Amino acid sequence: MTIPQLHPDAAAKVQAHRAKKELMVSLGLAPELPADWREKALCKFDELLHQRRSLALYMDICVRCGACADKCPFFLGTGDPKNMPVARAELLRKVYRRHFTAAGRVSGHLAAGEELTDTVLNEWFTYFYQCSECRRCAEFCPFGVDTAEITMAAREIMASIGVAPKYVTEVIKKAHELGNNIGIPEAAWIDGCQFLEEELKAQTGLDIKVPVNQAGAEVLLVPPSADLFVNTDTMVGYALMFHAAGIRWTTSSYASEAGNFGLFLNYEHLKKINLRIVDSARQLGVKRLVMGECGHAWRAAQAFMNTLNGPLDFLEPPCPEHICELAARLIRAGRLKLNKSANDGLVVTYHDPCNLARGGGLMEEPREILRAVVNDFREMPANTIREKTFCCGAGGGLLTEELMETRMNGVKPRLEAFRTSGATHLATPCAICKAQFPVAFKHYAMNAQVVGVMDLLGKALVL
Amino acid sequence: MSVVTLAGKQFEVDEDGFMQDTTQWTPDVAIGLAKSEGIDALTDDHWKVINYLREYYQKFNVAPPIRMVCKQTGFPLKRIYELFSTGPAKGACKLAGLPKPTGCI
Amino acid sequence: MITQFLPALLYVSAVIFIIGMGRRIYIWVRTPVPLNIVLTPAPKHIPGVIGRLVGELFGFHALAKADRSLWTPAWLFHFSLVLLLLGHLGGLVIPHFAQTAMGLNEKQFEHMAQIVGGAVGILAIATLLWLLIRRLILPRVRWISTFSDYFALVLLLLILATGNAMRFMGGLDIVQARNFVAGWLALHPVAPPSDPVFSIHIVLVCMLLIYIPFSKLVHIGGVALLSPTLNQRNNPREHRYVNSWDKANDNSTTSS
Ligand code: SF4
Ligand code: SF4
Ligand code: SF4
Repeated sequence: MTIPQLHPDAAAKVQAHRAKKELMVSLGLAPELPADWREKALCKFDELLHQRRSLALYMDICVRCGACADKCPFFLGTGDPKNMPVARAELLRKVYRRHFTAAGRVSGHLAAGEELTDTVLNEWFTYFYQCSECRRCAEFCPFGVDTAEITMAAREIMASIGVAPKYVTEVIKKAHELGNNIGIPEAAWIDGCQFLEEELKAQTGLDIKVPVNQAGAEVLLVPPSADLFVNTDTMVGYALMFHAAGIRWTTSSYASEAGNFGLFLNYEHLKKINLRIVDSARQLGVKRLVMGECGHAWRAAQAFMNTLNGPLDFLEPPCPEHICELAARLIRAGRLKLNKSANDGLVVTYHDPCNLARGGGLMEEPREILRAVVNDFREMPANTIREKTFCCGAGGGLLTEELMETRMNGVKPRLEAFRTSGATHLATPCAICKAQFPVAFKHYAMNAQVVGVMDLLGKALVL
Repeated sequence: MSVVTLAGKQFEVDEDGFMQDTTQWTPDVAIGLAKSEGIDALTDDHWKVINYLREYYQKFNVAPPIRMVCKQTGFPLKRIYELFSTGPAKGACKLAGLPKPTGCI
Repeated sequence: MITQFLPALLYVSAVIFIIGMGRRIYIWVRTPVPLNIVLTPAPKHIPGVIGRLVGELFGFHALAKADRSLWTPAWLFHFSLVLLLLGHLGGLVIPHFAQTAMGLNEKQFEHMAQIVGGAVGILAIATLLWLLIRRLILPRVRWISTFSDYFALVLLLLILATGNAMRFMGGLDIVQARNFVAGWLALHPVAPPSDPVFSIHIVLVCMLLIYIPFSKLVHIGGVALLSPTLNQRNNPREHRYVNSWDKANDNSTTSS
């Protein structure tokens, strides 16, 4: 994608709604900006600098070479210089220099240090919530400076002084209270699964289960709750695959969500949300844990769960396993009978969700599945896929109405690559991506569809 | 948060125009909010969706899965988008007085 | 006066540099890495990690992926800087050893130093100018540049310019220079060479030494080695990675 001209402050007005008092309190966060917020923020900053080498190191070593500048979808989409990863990081770094370095304390502005003021805080809330924590910038930095780590730290500091978006906190609250991001209570979860069983019965004439809370099942599958609410074809895909492979599986109404919005707020909630899954696996006495089609869930589970909530040695390795890993394994073992032509007429390409590819190294299995279930599978340009994938523009807690302008700008590089591929269907195993792309297709008047990987597998299965 | 006046009564709505207290909902609310969703007049088809959403919400405290809405109203998804251009989870829920469904949707 | 001042300044600068760098690196090393945040494509095993780090350290691999037009001057500049440092070591600190090791007689050795050193000196200054011009003309890089970015470039430029001046204008007596270095290293400082450019060169180098630990130039501390996105393995499922400040995980099954 061509590098845009600089449009200073082009995105300055787009800001998330702030969470209200009650919401903040329910998550154990400061209800609102305290009088001494500056000291509190700096204190939290200091704490994080002592806890995370990524932050300590990345505050010091960036040489402002600009190699990352044109790699961020939000800069490419908006042209706002503060959306360049390096400039985004500088928003935090300038305060770091002023308050935590000798040079900044002595020479202030000469060392490009800046006081933490209302204006700076406002900038933080704007631009650290225009970053999807996709980490594309880090791939291209000579020191591996990961701006997502800086964004996470900034968000954590803000949360500690009562500044957080309504969307993210509301979702976390629901995840803690009801076990999923949408807020589906147990009775509705069970009802929804039964409904799908009836649908499957009507469709196939077979008794295909969409089980809930089945103690002693072999596999606990944790899908994003959106798979029951909107992306039902994905849920059906899971059910069909488990049925065809003869694996006893279950969902859990206690841990009915894979996606972990704690990742977008702070360490504490990341850990707490993950814990529900581990607890549920223990309670149900399953042998294996499989994560559904969700990008952020995969990072939280694959990379962090063993550390945060482990050891996970009561479960069989690989733990957790991704549904695409499992499906690819079953295909390789010849345990699934597939008829590719069921998906004829679709021209399919694959969008690597950032958190699967960059965050968890999962890149081959989804492709393996797609090649096995569709005849016309093609790739987007090489510098936009795999570890170089472009974010859908809505990850990292941005999937909310009021950030629509940012979302529609951030998706541009991905859409451009998609157009070049000539595909009609964009397959992707991530609920946020699945929610974002239809809006984007409509916005840019594109005649295309987004689809889950398991949806296509489900269609191609011969039962 | 702001307040809107519909059919002579005042209601608190959130930033996106969703009712804060769903128990205060009356059909007048739906009629009053229709304009904001670009709907001139609510037809029987609109009501079918709205009523189902409310019925389900009263039972389960959450909006129903989209596929269930289609099945129960007999409308394909396309038709629902014709009725409510922002979709079942946005416009339809707003008119039905349900809280805004959020999450990865 | 300059006889005492220059060596003293050099001692002070060297001490500040060593302590400053040591302190920075100590802080980074001591700071825990709570989670596995390695970047894809991530190696599974140690040899892979070593390969990746070597590629980053010596080949600027990620930068090559990012931007060839930056990689080229950046790599050439750092490469020539390393050569210049080696040249200073060989030519000034251990000339006899270097000469015998290369199997050259004195004349040949000086001749070689003149040609290679001269060429590398020019390469370094040319690539540095290239980097400076890039910073000035690329709008997005210019936008992110701060005073300290220009300061570092100009300082290096002056150091290289004075160095090259001594080489090409022939004002420097190399024997005097070697004596000065030897005396300084032996803690018995002697008078610097009479060429005033030499003194200016040394003062500038001292400024650089003092500046490095407190600026972005700390990156010469081989920081890619410490960067968790680069030095970890993609094995969090196989090996439980423990967070040193949060070891006590609450794994008790919830009471519900
Ligand atoms: S690529 Fe790395 S060093 Fe260069 S500006 Fe970006 S973060 Fe800084
Ligand atoms: S993590 Fe992604 S969104 Fe954030 S600055 Fe880097 S490239 Fe941009
Ligand atoms: S939503 Fe999908 S594409 Fe966007 S950051 Fe997350 S994983 Fe990446």
